[in-house]
Amino acid sequence: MSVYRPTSLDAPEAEVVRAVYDDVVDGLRDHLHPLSFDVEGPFATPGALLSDPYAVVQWVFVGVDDGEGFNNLWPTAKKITVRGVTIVDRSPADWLFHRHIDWNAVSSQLGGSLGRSATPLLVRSREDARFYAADHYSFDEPD
Amino acid sequence: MPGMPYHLEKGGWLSVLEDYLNGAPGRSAQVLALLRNPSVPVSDTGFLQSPALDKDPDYETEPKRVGHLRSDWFGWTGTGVLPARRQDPFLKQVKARVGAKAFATAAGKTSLTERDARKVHRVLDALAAETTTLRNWPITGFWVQYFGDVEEIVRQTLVRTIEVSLGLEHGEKIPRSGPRRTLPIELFWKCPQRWFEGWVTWRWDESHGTGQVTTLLATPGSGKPVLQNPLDGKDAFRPTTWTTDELVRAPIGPPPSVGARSWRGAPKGMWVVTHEHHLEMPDLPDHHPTTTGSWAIPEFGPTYVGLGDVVCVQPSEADGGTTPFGREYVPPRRSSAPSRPRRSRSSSRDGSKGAPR
Repeated sequence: MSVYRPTSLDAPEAEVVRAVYDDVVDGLRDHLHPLSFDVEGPFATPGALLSDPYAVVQWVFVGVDDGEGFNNLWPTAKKITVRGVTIVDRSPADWLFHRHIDWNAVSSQLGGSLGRSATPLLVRSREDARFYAADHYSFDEPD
Repeated sequence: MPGMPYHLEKGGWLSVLEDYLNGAPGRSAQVLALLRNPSVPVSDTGFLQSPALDKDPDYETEPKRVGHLRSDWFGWTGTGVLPARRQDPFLKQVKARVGAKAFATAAGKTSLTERDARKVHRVLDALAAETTTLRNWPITGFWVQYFGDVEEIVRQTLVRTIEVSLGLEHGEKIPRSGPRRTLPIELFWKCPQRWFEGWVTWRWDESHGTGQVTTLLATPGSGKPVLQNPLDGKDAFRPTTWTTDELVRAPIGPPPSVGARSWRGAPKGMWVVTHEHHLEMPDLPDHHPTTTGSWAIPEFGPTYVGLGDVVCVQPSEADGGTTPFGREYVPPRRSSAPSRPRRSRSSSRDGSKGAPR
């Protein structure tokens, strides 16, 4: 089965979605072995929202964590789903990709959460938080 | 210490180090002298030279073991198996990554030293907002999203451990008559947490001359995964007894200490050895546009940097530490046997209301 799943897209949208697909697969090539790529969200039917010179693609990619590992973590052999929105700037000859990716979801799928915050200020009462913050970050205490 | 797939580890390396410190009279004192000399690398204090570690399939030779400890734990660099250069300070590494010009722009006219944690944070905040090339902060060795002087923390932790074991004040020379006591030392490695700490804890029963120093190296993750199911570990099993049928030499510990019973050693203790300051690095935006396929995977969660001196701190009991004598158990004034519950006249055993008897 093909990794690339979008079908029946019109020409301009299809070209953009294909470019985003190439960018995602290539960008994650050292980390995830690709299983599937598809578009989703409000622009899924046309594939992309076009507003020259920009295009917006909401996508979902699934791959196996069998590469070099994320951020020095050992590869886990888990199936990882990566979701993102890419804004493509088509004005330069080499298109530019602004990627907004749900990395928190990737981290939690890898089992990487620690479940504890760290702070220089031990706030025992919620009411004190603004005072401590204003003092620590040197700004006027907000109302 | 390559890392095991559990949250708590002793493993071959710490087992050998324990035996090295406990197994022969006077040896921990010799190691203490080496550790107190900052020009002696922690990797060169003796235990890694033991052929007892040759069984480790990944680090079966001394150079490999020394190289692993220096590079993966302490962040040393260099070519070949044996790194020979200690890690550069954090700000120097940041400057090398972003370039002197970008660094100078963020720093302005500020004279920056790593001792001034707040000033460092302000400058790095400005740098993170402006730079489009810095996608990850420098880290030490294989520790995930942590930078610090790990070698100094390990050194100070072991120094404190041996000093407590031998009944010495910090920096005190060993008396000519010999140490006041020699408590056995137990070592563990616990991970993950956000930054690197050494925990030195002890018990000392003066009336019997017995006790123990238990030290934990509490560290960030090394990248090695933790097994979700404890029985999936290599040769893991459910023990039914704590005894063994193996006939091999048991680890040798020091004999019960003897001597004056009027000495003022605290019977309990709990210290943490770590950097004086820990800075949470500013978030590095990862949405700056690049051409196709040019990705940089961002950090997952915060990166912490240890700055300033390595200090030894005694937390209060209220914050989870212990007082020198702990808190004595006091039995309840009344009998601790559970009292017979009084049954309501309007309720029955199964909770339903019934007619009073």
